[in-house]
Amino acid sequence: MMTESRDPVLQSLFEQARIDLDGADLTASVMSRTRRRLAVMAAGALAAALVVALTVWTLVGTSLLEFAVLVSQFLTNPLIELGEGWLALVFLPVNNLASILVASTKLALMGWKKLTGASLVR
Amino acid sequence: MPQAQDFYPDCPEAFLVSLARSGDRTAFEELVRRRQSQLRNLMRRFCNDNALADDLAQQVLMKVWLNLRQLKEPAAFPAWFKRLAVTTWLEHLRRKDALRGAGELHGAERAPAAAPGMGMDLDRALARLEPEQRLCVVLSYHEGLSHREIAGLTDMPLGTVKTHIRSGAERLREILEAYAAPGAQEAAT
Repeated sequence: MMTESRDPVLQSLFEQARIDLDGADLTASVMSRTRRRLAVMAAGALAAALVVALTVWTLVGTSLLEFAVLVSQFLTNPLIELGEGWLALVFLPVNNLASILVASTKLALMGWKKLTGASLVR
Repeated sequence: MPQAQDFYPDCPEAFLVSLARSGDRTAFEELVRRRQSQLRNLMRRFCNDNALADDLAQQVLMKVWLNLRQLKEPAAFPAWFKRLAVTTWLEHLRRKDALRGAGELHGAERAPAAAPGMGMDLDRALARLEPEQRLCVVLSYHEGLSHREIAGLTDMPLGTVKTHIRSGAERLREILEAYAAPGAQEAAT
């Protein structure tokens, strides 16, 4: 908006003082500063993530590990007691709750596919 | 086959701003290339020190890069950019008390009619104004902003802006009166 009158001599001086400056160096310098800033920000984010991970591990890591061991033991308990002979060794991979869960899931997916013609898993 | 970068020089600024906002560094680089001359000229009028002006211009451009995501409307970029430049200058004034540097020039001689580097004379003359006067005069004469726009940009009352521009322009005319003489401008350029 040019609503106010300006001194024409001053206006002319300002226009003449305006020069087209070559920006190659300045542009390179700014881009280099943005790269450095990005590196610093990435390092900061990594450090923060590490601190959070360590804190979480310190607070609940041991409990989580114990819980995982309990679940693992529960799932691998033999369903039928076969002793310690060769029969137990043969059936070891399937004689537990985990195998039953995997097998039943697989069967359910196959049944679903058979019934509907569409797969639940891509 | 043309590269993606070949298209940037022909892109409208608002489109470049949108791309830069989403993290496109090549678009930001093109923005810097387009805006740097205008910004450095503005800073030179503000501070009468080319090295400082370039340093402040880099600070402004870094602020643009860091805060571009906050800009809701790409079309508002020119006004936002100008505000960042003015804010950076005002922050510099507050930090360094640039008045002291300007005060050193109070004893300077008036600009001769055919002095080399008219831009330098103008910058020296501007440095002899009060910082608020200089800010308002530069925004009015260099950037072509209206009094109301300057008031909005600087958070000064409209009446104060008008007073600063009137008194600042009078003072500038006094200092640069040699340039008003017939034929003086041609001789200086």
